[in-house]
Amino acid sequence: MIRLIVTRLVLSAVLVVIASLAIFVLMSFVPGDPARTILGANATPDLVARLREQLGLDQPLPVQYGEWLAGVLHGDLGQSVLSGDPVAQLIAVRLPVTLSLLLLSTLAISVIGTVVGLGSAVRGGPLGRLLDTVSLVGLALPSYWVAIVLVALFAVAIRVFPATGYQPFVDGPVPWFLSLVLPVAALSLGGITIVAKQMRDSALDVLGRDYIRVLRASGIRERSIVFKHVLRNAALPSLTVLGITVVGALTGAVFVENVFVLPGLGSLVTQATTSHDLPVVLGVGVVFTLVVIVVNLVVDVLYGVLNPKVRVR
Amino acid sequence: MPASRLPVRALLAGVTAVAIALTASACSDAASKGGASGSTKGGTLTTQFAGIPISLNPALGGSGGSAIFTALPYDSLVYQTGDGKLIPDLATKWSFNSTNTELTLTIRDGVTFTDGEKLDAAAVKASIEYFLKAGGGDVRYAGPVDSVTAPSADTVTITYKSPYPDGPFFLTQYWGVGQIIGPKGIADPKSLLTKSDGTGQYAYAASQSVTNSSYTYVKNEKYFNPDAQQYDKVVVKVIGDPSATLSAVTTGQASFAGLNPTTAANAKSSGLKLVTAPFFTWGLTNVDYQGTIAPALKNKDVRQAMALAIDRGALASALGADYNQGNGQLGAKGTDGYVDGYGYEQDVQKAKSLLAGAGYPNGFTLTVLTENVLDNQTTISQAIASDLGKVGITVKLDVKNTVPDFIQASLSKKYAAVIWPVIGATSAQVLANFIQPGVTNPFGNADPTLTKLYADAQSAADASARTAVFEQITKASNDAAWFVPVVSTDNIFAVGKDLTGVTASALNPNPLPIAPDPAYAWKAAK
Amino acid sequence: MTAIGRSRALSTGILPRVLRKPLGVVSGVVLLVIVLAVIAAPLIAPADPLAQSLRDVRQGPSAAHLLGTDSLGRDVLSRLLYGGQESLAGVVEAVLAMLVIAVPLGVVAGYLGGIVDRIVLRVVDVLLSIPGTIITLAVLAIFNNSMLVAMISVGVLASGAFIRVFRSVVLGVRQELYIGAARVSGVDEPRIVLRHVLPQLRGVLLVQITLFAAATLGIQTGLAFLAFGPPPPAPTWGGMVAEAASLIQIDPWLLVPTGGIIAVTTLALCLLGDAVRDANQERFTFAGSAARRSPAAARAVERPAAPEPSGRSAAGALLAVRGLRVGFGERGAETVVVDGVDLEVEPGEVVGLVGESGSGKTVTALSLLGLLGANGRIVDGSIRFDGQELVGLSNAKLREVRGAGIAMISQEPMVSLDPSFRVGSQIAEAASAHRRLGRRSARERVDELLRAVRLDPSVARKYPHEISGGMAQRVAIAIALAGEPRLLIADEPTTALDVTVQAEILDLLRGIQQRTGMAIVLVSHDWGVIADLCSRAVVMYAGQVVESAPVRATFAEPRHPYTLALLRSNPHDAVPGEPLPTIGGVVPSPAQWPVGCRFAARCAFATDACRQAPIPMVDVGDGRMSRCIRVDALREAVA
Repeated sequence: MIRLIVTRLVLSAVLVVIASLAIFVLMSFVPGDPARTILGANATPDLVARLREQLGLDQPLPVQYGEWLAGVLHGDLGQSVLSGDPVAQLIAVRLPVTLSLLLLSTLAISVIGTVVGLGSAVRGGPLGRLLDTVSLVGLALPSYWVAIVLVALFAVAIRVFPATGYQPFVDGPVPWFLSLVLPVAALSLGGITIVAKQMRDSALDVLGRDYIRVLRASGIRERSIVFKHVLRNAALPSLTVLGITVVGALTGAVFVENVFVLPGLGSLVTQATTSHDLPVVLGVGVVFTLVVIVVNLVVDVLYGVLNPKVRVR
Repeated sequence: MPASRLPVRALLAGVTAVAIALTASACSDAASKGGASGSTKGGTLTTQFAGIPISLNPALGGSGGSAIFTALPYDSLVYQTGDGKLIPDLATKWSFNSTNTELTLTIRDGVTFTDGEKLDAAAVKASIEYFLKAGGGDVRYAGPVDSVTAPSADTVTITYKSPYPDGPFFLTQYWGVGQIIGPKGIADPKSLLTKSDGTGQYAYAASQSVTNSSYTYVKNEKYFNPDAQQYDKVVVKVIGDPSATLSAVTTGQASFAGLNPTTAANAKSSGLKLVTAPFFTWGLTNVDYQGTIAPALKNKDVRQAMALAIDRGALASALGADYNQGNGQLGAKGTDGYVDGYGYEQDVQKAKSLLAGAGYPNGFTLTVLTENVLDNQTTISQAIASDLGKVGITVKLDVKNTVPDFIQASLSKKYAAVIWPVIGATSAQVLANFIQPGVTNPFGNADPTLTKLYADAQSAADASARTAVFEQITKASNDAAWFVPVVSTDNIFAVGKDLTGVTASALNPNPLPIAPDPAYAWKAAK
Repeated sequence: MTAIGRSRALSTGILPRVLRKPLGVVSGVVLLVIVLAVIAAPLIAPADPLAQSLRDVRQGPSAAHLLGTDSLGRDVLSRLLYGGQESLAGVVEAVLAMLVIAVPLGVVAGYLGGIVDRIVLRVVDVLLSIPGTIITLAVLAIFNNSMLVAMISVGVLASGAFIRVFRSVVLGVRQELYIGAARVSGVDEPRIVLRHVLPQLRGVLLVQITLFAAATLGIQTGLAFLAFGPPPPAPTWGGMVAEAASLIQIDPWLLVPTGGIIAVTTLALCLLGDAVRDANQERFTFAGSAARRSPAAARAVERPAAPEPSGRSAAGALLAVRGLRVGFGERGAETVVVDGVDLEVEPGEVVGLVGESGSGKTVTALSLLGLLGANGRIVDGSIRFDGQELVGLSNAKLREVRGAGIAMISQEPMVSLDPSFRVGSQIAEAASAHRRLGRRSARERVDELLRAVRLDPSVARKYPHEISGGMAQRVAIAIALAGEPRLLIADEPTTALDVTVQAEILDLLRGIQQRTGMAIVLVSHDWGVIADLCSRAVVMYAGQVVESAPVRATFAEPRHPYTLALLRSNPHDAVPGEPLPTIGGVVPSPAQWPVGCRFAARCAFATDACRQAPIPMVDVGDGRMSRCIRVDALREAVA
């Protein structure tokens, strides 16, 4: 297990370099330049050139990347070209928002997805079919569409939840939670249905296994069979799917943060990309890469915990 | 519109230019002006702005509506009211010499910066000089400044290389040059990004703000006129998505928000007050006025025929008659130099005969550059293209998706005509877009008549003389048909039930919450 | 050669199978209609998608505008049709990009293995860790909002996950016999891949394509929703949702067609994917295994009218089964697979239940515990255990019998243990199912049970995959013994084991039986096993009991031709050098059961009378019963 974690950490350093290099190369091809964006339509070419120099944009690309990487190694992610804020600080302020969104979504996806999937597998019949239908519709409706309808229903028509914005956790868990209910709902609906579907399929598979019959034959309570044995064994394939879903939610966060005006990394990176604010894009890229690595690591570790065959190694 | 295009919007706000005070029909959400008595003070005002700040340093920041981020903490020398009047702020009075080249301002006494320094002529001089060399994109609005001097502790004199009667207008809260920065801030400009150093009603509170998302300003206890301060705190939320903006303002998360015609219809139906004012004049600019790449455009008759081809009323109503007006001349109704009852109207027969006379009986083909950020859905561009088609001019639209792309394409001199909105509180200000090199004059063309009239306007002795020249400019511009005016569109704002005192006009279409005189400030509604 | 031929035959027919599924057909048709309509938009769209009409803004559906008009008076249906071109093209681009990368890499990695495989897996790791969103946004910025390039990058970025899927499929295929056969017969590698590996991948490919297409449609429209891609006024599905969103309060209708078309298309893709997946799975499972997607909770059996006990008196029996009929399938239209079985087990008696596959012996055994699954149920008959009627009992009541009254061990010890839990915990769980045990006493009980099956108590700490098959069967026996049952049903307990281990297990069972006095129903097709352990043999054929007699007598003088045939085909008795005698033909499936004797078709003694009417069980003396009217002829033949 420890070896797994150490290997992953080493790999993550390599991945960060590759990912940032990819972003860097791509972003350097973006037409237009930040200096022009900052200065606007009426700026003279002279002025633009001066700003480019100030921002270090006149340096050759490898030099720019080298300097950035050297900075990262010293814990300096650089400064936003646009606002001048240190990128690390921009990210630090926004990370809690995106993480809150991700954590609550993961929780919702795993808990609700599992309950729905397991329920529909065990119950079958009309309830199972209802759950199937609901989850299919949930899968089919685009998350942004759901977000819009949720806002219209629960923020504008009945004002239960705020329509936009984020309340920091430190200002109280209740406002924090309320401000995240709709975004999390929009973000996790698709994931819930995917996990529920996977959970159902694997639970049905497990239910057909011999050992379940043996457990029943031994007079084990049905509750224990479902919640201990079926859940545990069906959780393995679902866990892989959950990992993919959570990584996918990172992409979803970009959409959802924009619709709900949440000051998270997703909205930061959309703004930064269109304004060619390379240091910010790189910084967020690094954070996203790390989040993906951490999620994958957690999945692998959990997989090991749940699957004795992996654990022994 | 996409959140992803936020910076573009900020940019747009930065590109705007607005108006000098004269008569104008002001549109206000409440008749109760100057009714400071009885309104409750304190609390928090939350407003929306669609773009992120270009910079929190006034010397590098945006103009027009986006000036809100710097106007709250930095007082300007002059203040422009919602209906376009210029009134004293940090400058208690100002005057030009007879040639409009020397502007003398008297600086208010007893004002201190948040850094503790006293405001005096030297500080004002230092701030303006810093602005001129800071490298901001809007430096040209400071005018042809030759020198700034401080002959006495309370007097500042700005000397221009050529007449610049618009000087005081550009010293208002909407322009960086007028926003005065304290000496300590100028000494360390980087500090301005995290800590404001002005004399304004509010000070930027970095700790309560989230960059690019929400900006919080707290009451400045050192402000020189506490009567005018209405709130304890002002929060500016950056919301670019129109639907999100609408939800925020309808659910009371913001008391003030900019809308588009679509969301405006929504807001109206949910009972919000709307404040509108003409903002853009849209039209087609024949940037290849000399016929370098499109020989047909060299012929004045051809250009006039184009102007005669447009059905302005139909387009205005297609865009929404409530917020758009067909416009056949340079400036929007309400601006200085607007001539009532004058302007191009559609006359297809005449247009066709002009074309035939110019040797184009079968018309010609023209590639026109446009974009879809400001001309959302390219409704305006399509209407222009379709109307020109009716007189035989086949238009091929080349649509750019971002403003920088558009600017770059235009400056490449590959397009003979562009569709782009212009702004100005006077016809001369609008004209400046065409006689100075830039996105609407990439070829650097000049028309002797217009150039002369522009110079006349700058040196005209008084307001009425200037207005006379402005009207001449309007007519001369239409005769040259360099710019084919089409429609003027409104800025639309939603005002929550808890807010009053929001005013906008053709001369000042970008309302801001603060005013040195409580009569002009936004207030909490009872 | 035959192996190759057979596998090819197996791999055909996805399409016909999909077409047999109503959902697959409906979703396929819906998808086809959408795609065709979108492609034919210029021909069939009622209006120009860009034509604005101020007089007709924001109208609901009407004859002129089937889906209404938008805020600029444009026809929504026309815009959807034209807008779909971009969206569907984007999906196709992304899918193609994914396939172009994932198929070759997945196949190469899975087929070649080794260093190539490791390199490809590293590339996959990188692909999976790169923040795709940011790359896609950057690509959109670079290529001037070109949806084409963006969707290709989506496909490229997603290919990582698919490389893994395809790789594992190919890995599985590679290990199959016929690939080896092809290799040995000198077919060159690219040909093997093309002719034999890729066709196996086809099913999985189709499933992944439909599911990825659905996901991609979400991304494509999502990007358009955020106003990336073709600028307005060009219609896009996502862009139209965004426009509808800004009008939600004054014209909520617009959200319906705009979101609806995306939802319907996604739904059709998902359902089609499901249908293809099911069809693909069916190809690899034998027909008739209808109960594969089976059961939810074990169903309580229904309480049919129990017939009067007949035949032998059952007064002292521990288990008395009367006229048991078990059916599978739709309620009321069940296929009966066990047809009127009678069976008694005295306390402490070991009864062998013998028959070929398909004779119904395992189903009979399972029905004793009410473990038939959702698909199966007892349609008639009675099961009395220790005086209590089990048929019709609720699940909760049945649970009290299971483990404590009747326990079971099954054929495949390796799969009858939950792989996720330690052996000890599974034994402890069974031990605590019927009485409360503290942590300590549970551990003692586990040790005791392990010792009882002659295992070291340290085995308790092992996981099922760490022990051998023989050990696993001992553990399974320990679990069965945990509830101190009075009857043990052993369903082919040694079939899956090595010969030496078989003997040990039988030895163990005998020892336990003698020590505890528990009764055993031993299900087996192996006369050796039966002879070793049982005192009485019950022979089943085609869902019926055909003979019931003490084991010794059965061996000496079978009273049913089937028993005789079974005994003769017993490999233990095979004469070296002579071909193994077999019974010609197979057990008829329930649908083919004849009216008369079910064995008649394979029987050397059959006469016309045998085929006329159902044959009853008759007492043939010495406490023996047989379902044969030709017993006399049989007697002569044996003698």
